[in-house]
Amino acid sequence: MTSIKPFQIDDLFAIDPVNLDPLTENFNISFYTSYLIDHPNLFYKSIEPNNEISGYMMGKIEGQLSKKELHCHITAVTINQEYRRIGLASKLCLLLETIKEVQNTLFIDLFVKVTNTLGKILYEKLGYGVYRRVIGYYGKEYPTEKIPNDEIDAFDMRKALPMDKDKETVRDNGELFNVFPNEVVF
Amino acid sequence: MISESDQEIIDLVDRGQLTYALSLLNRKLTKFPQKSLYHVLKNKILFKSGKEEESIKQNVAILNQYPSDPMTIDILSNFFQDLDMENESNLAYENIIKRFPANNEKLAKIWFENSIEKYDYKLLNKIFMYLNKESKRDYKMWFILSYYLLIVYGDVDEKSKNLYLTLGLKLISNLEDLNNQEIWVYVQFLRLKEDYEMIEGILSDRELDLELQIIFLETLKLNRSWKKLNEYCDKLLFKENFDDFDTWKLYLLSSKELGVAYGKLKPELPSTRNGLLCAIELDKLFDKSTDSSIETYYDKFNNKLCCYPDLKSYELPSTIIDKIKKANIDSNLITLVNNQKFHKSLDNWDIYSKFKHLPVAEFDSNPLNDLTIESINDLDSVRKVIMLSHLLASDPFNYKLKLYLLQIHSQLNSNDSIIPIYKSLKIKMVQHENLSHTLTFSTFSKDSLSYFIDIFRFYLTSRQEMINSIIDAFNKGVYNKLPSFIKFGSNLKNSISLNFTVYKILQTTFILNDTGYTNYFSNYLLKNKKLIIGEWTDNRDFKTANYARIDTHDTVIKLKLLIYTIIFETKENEVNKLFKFYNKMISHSASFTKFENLIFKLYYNILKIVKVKSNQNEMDSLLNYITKNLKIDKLKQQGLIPENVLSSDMSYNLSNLIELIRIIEFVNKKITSVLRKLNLDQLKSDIKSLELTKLQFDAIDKINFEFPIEFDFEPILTDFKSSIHQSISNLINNI
Ligand SMILES: CC(C)(COP(=O)(O)OP(=O)(O)OC[C@H]1O[C@@H](n2cnc3c(N)ncnc32)[C@H](O)[C@@H]1OP(=O)(O)O)[C@@H](O)C(=O)NCCC(=O)NCCS
Repeated sequence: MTSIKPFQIDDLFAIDPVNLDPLTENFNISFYTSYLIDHPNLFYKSIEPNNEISGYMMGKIEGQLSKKELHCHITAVTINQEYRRIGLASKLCLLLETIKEVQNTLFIDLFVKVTNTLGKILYEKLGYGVYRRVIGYYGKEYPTEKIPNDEIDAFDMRKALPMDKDKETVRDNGELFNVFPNEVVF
Repeated sequence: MISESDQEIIDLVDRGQLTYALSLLNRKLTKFPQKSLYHVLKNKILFKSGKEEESIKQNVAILNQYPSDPMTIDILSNFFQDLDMENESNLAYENIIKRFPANNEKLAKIWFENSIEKYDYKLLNKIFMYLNKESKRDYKMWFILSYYLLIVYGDVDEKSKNLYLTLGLKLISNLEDLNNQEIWVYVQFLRLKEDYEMIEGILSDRELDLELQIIFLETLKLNRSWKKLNEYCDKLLFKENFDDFDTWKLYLLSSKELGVAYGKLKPELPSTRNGLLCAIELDKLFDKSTDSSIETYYDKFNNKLCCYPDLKSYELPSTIIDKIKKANIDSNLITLVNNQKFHKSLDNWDIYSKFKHLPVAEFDSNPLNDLTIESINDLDSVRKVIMLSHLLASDPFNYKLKLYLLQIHSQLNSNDSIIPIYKSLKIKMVQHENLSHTLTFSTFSKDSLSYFIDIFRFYLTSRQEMINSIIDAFNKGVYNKLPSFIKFGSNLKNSISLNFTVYKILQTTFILNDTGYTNYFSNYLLKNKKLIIGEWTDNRDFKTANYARIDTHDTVIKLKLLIYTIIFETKENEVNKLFKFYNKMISHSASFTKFENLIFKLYYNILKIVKVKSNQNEMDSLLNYITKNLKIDKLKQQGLIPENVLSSDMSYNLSNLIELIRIIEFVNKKITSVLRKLNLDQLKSDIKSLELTKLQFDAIDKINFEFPIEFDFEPILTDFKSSIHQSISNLINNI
């Protein structure tokens, strides 16, 4: 029985069951506040009875329209284990597409570890496809050569939005396009 | 802009390097005798060197000369602030702003930025009043919002609240073309006034963000505007696919109010989770039996973990209870887990044996352990530790097992095991605020000290981050996030977890005799006296996986911080104030153990001898009490070693005792030699001969290590014993 509510900074006191997940990042406070300030509508949570937080979405808008790069980026989507596999993450992602600010952009993108097959499937089901492979995205050191390494590479996945009428911001076979991390900064 | 050499002096003064600062300052003063910054800095040095009255007098004189340089004003204002001279502190800014209106904006903004951390809403209101003179739209909004903050967070009476409400409303209703953020502020006032008609009017026919959408729905319900509510929900649910449970419920309610029949509504509900759960709510709304809807939901979702939390507040129909009973072990694991939860079954070991090798997604927890956690409830703590450690080995990312383990280690003396488990949870940043209380019983070592220092750093950074975030949110007009930013900032500023961290650091440095941080933290305590004595906020998470609540000794922490502060404080009147507070606290604390009582009595005597003036007779009798009681037999009589030797009271008492010894040694070395007569060496050697580890090992040997499942528990037991050994020796070896 999920309802969607805006995220507030003091929710950080109540999201341990979500954030104790080993794959969920915990950021410093100003990281969260910067999203709340600059993209208040793209940071929301799903709640269950008793206001238990079952998950949340953190997104931002970035890139320039003139370069055909204006898009919404999913920074985090994560679900409390007790509420997984019932389509909640999918729902939080789809909800983004109904938000005006997002609709005014060309595509939504996100990064997923190359080895995170489940994450990749999840997004594929939602209509995302791999746009490019970011070499060494999760690595400790900046890569010097474009040699794929599943452990530290990320897939940059995209879904084109109606604004991108000619589907110029997505492509097939994106898994074969290797780029350096600095090429995915907007 | 402040010059590098001036900044150097300011830093030196802040760090307490007064003599050097003064020499640099005097040189500056010869060159620039008129510069007020140097005078206020000199007064700060005077103050810090004990010449309080003189420095206050001189700073009041400077105040009356209206210095206008922002840095001088800031230092002056803080000087008075630290002395609780609120009025003078504000006048430092206010005088200038009033006198030189041209400077108004710049200075008032600095005043605002420097005042945020006070979380003083009256002050904010006053500052924004001055800023509002600039007649800029943003400042007007800030001023208006500050009335709202005053009403909801300020410590003000009803009459003032009504006044602020009227003022705020009047100001905002004069503004035109409000954006959604401004509308949000407007609506908050109207909610306080309970003027829902007006809210409805304002929010109708607007494009609403989620925040306003929720308020609009709630308002339509309160106004019983059923048709409008129904249409709005219809739009959200069916046209925009906003699948939201609260909206569904409002849709059903408004439909019913509009006379739509049950039979027409039921088929409208989709067979999604929200839809099926709404069907149950629909039954309730029409006073019908919920049985069949609950069953439909159960049949579809019994193989999902949400089934139990979703249904647990409803009464299950007998048909489901039958299904649960009949479900055999060949069912799906998650179905069985749910069933056992509904059934509140404690015997889950058959299911465990069957499914223990079933793989789960790489980083997921095994749902099976939701059951085993319940099943080990009856075991004693030592066997719990062993079982939990065993289960964790094959479910290494299960945070519930880890938190449970932390809770059980906190009941025992295996303190050494605590930080590694905590670290394995990858707890970071604000999670420390929520969860660091699970470190209450962590061991005393160099590593744990540096870990607590790391935690403390989080507070230093986040404090500044919150200030910057609040400024940023004001500047960008994100009003609907500001009240929670402000609440969050003020909750973080003086929380139990922060004070716990400071205490752990001090206690560990004393126990380890590691003086590296003493200076910093003694300054910290003296600077934050008001916070130590004041109310602490509690943001700790005692809900998540709370199987055995940890005794966090909150009052003890406060008393100990008070003791440290008194020890470090050099000003007599301050000492007396703090000591009074200490007495009041111990006389109001009914829940101390015998041993804690003794410890605090001893501290009372020590503080009285060392810091509070007493006559010789009194001194003798105070000292006599300490001498008599700081003997091992006496301490044992008062419960130094708990009846259950495995209980964490053992290391807790021992650490309290060693800390006390260390504090006496510190006093002897740094403050006065009156306590030198105490024979601490004897006591120390007596403590060392207590053989506390052996006592515990003997008790462990008596445990019958039977477990509900078979496994090789010996290696875990060996680790557990070595953790006890290490934890006790960490304490004993340090005396
Ligand atoms: C990844 C995560 C967000 C998925 O959340 P969720 O609400 O369970 O996802 P959904 O129910 O919407 O799943 C949609 C689809 O993704 C796939 N999927 C998701 N989790 C899966 C799992 N553990 N195993 C197999 N498939 C999975 C399935 O195909 C699923 O559809 P299905 O259930 O009909 O088979 C959640 O597991 C999580 O919070 N993980 C930790 C944080 C994280 O990794 N986030 C970022 C991922 S890039």
